[in-house]
Amino acid sequence: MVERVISKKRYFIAFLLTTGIFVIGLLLGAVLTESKFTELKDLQQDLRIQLASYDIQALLVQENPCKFKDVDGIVVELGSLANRLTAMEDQLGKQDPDVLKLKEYYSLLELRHWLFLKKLNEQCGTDYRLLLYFYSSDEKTCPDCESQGYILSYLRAKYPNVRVYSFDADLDDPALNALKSIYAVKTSPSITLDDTLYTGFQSKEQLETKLSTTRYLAK
Amino acid sequence: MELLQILVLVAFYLSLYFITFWLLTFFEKGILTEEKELTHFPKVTVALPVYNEEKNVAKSILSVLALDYPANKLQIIVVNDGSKDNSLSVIKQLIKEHPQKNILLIDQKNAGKGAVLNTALRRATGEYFVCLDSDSEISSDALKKMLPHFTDDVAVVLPLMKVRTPTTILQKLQWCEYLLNFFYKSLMAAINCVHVAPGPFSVYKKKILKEVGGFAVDNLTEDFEITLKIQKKHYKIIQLLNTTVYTGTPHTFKGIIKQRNRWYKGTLLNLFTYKNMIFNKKYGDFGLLQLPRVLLSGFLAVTFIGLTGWRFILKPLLQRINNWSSINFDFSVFLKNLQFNFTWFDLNFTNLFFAIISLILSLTIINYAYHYTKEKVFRYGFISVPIYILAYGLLASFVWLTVFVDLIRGKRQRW
Repeated sequence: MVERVISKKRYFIAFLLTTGIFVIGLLLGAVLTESKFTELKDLQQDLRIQLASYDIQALLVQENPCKFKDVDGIVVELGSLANRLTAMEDQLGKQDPDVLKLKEYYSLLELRHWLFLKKLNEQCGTDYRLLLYFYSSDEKTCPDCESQGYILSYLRAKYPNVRVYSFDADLDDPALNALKSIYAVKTSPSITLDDTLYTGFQSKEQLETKLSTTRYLAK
Repeated sequence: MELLQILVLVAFYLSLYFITFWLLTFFEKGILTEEKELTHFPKVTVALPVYNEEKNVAKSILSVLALDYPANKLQIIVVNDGSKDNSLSVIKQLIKEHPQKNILLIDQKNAGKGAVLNTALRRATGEYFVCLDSDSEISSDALKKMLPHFTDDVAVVLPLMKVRTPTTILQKLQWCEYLLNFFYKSLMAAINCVHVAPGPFSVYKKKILKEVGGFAVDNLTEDFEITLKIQKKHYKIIQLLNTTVYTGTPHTFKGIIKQRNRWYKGTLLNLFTYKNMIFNKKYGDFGLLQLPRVLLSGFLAVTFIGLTGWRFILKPLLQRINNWSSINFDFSVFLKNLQFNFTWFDLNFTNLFFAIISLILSLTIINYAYHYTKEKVFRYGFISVPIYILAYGLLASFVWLTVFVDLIRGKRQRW
């Protein structure tokens, strides 16, 4: 018969080491997440400045919009803001109040840009194909939104004159609510093109057909 | 913090605790490498249960015949457990070819491995009783190396078990797994915590087998059950790494799932039977640490690896594939204006830190395991080790899920 031993000392040392490593890991996460909040503040600031600058820009080009050519400069900036926003969303959660606030800001920027390009189309004969995309970040209410978003960014990348503006349909913002009621948006995903509303998931082929039948589609 | 994150942290803490504990045990106790000389030759009975193994049984018996041990001290009992294939005629042919050897053939109706071993045990005349699964082959030096380690309190001596000529990637993974497992097992042996004496060539003291009432009949893992009974009597189990038994392993995904399902289910059911040993101080480290760990391993595998694997790897991957197929895999447009928007803020630092620590510890253990089993890390290709580290847990957690599903549906199974 062997004498049974309880290796208390080893239990204890293992406990100390494990807890030590564990605490370091948690602290590291906490400290670095803290610095993410600083980044969040910066982003908020950026968005505010951007919004104000669009306002001025709009006033400046109102007189003669057709002279204004650098549409894409703004789009690229919008794109990089969107990417930072997505990163924030992943980190802090989709329901984080700061993130929601930023999203609202961003939606307003998008709306401005959309109105501007619409005006260009009307007054200067440009041919931007403008899509409004209403999604829900809640996977349960909209399981197709992820794929729909991906298809839209594909189309945006493929056709230079296609512009996609994405709005979180769950956001409660007066301007967004107005937009939703204009187009009678009730569910996600919903897409508008040339003032027509398409509800439900649209495949790549369906969208391409719609884009090319209504008007010219640049390749 | 979401529930999943908390579960992951708990599982990580526990895994880290056990790894640290075994590493400390290793640094304190070392690995048993002592070679002992066999001074006398006690009689040994080798029992080979055979069930539908026409392809392997000859190799298995031949390896026993080739044992470096006096023929008159070796009793070989082959029990055909109602095989439906040609196993019986293969065995008969072999016996005919080796008339000078002491081989006893018992042909019985299919009764399961535990019953077969008990049949052999009743007919055994040896002082030691060895079981050799008929899909395994033993090195010829095994008995000479193993028998000297028997002292009064030793009930079982185990050889190192390796996967026989791995060909498929799945077998190469199991090759890695076995080396690691047996390295761990020798650490467990150092503090009397071995919980399974596996089927291939575990050498038992026959007197003790009889004392604990032989093997359990109709048990999914009678090897685990017999070990629990031996531990209950406080006998010692020794794990050697200097002699090897080579065993056949499933080569298909389905095969391995089926095998592991049986193992894990048997483990759970037997733990339930012997539940009063768990957290029982009377059994020292075996009761306080080892059995709870074995019990927890299912939980750990499912949450830590399964859930995180699903949440962070598999699900995003499926989503991505879904996305790609929705654009007919036309990536050309993205290549035109490729941009990387990766910032280091995208990372979850806590999980990243824990992942790195886990990786370092795994590599440390793998390194020691290969050193003590005298194997080269990349003997069967470079790919098997990284895949083992990344994917094996996923497999285990998948099997645990099938086990839970089976248990809920109340499915019974035979070995």
